[in-house]
Amino acid sequence: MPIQKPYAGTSVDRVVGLMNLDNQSSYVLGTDFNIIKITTGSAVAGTNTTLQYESLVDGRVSGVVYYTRLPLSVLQSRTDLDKVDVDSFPTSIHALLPRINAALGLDLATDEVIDTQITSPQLKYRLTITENNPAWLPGSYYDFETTLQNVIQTETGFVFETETGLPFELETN
Amino acid sequence: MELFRLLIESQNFDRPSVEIALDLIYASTGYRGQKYYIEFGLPEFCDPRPDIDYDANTFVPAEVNTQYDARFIGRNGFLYHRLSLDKITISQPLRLWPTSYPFKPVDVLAQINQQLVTQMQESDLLDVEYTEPGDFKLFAGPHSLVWTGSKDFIAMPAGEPQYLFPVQKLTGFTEVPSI
Repeated sequence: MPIQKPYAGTSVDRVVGLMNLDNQSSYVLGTDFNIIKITTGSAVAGTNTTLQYESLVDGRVSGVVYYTRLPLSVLQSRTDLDKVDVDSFPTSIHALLPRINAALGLDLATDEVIDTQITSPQLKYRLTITENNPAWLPGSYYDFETTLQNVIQTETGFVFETETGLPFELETN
Repeated sequence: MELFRLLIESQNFDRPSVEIALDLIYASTGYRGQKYYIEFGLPEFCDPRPDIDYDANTFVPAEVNTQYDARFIGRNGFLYHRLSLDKITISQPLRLWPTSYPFKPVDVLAQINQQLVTQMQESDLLDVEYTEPGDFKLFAGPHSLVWTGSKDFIAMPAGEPQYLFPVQKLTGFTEVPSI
C-alpha cells in the first residue's frame, strides 16, 4: 500500500500555501510577494517562526506572519513509512534523496538537507534539515531505516554478497 | 565610494545600527572595528564639504578598548558618512497606519521596520508629530548612528495596516496524527 503524504510538497510551496489558505488569498511568490527572512522565534504565543515578506501588490504593504515549523522528528510517530534502499557505497544523503523522499512521503530538495557522505552500511542514517528551511525546523532530524541491498549482516558486522560467492567484509557499525 | 555603493545596493539594513555604523566607518576610513570593544557616543552632523558625495558628514565620539586596539588611547572619534534615509529602496511607497492622530514615528515603528526591512529604534527617527493623513517625510534623528535625511511616506487614515497577508498568526504547521 502506498504511504500517505501529509507533508508532501516543497517547503516553499507548503508555506506559501499556508499563508494563502489562512488569508483566503492566492498570491504568487515572486510575482505578488517575496520572502525576505525566516527566523526562529516569534512574538506570538503558540508559534515558533517569524517570516518577513515584501509586498509587490500596489496598496498592500509588507509585513510578517507567524507560524509553527515542525521538527523532522514528527516522522517518528509514523508507522507506515518505507525503508530506503541503499545498494552501493560510497553514497550520500543527497544522492539518496529521491529514494528518501519516496520512502518518507516528502518532497525535500537537496538544499534543504545536510549532505552527509555514507561510506559503510548501516541500518539507519540521519536526515538533518539545513538552516532557513521555511517548513521544517533547522537542525531537526530523522533517522530513517534502510534496506541494504547486496549486503548481509553477520555477528561481526556487514559483508557484501559477491558474484563469486566470497564475502567481502566491511567495517562493523 | 565603491564600498558605499555595495552597501546601498545590498540593502542589508536589517541589522542593529551599530553594525551598519561600523560598515560605514570602514567604508569612510578603512578602519574595521568590532562592536564588542568600541563604545560610541552621540553622533553629530559635521559636513565641511557638502558638495562631495560620500565624504564625511558625521563625527561620532568613540571609546575604543585599548586591550583590543592600542592605537586609540584617550578621547577619540570617527569622521564618517551616514546614509540618507532615501537610500532605502522598497517596491511600494511607505504607508503608515496610526491607531489615532496625532502620532509619532515611534508609534508606528514596527510598520516602518517591516516595510523598510530595517531594525530602526526610536533614536533613529526624529520625534515629530503628524496630525492628519497625507504625504509627509520621515526624518532621521540627529543622533542616529546610521541615518540622515528623510524618506517620503503616506500617512493613512487611522486604522489597521493593509498588509498583504492580514492574518498574521497562521494555523500551521501541525503534526498529523499517527498513521
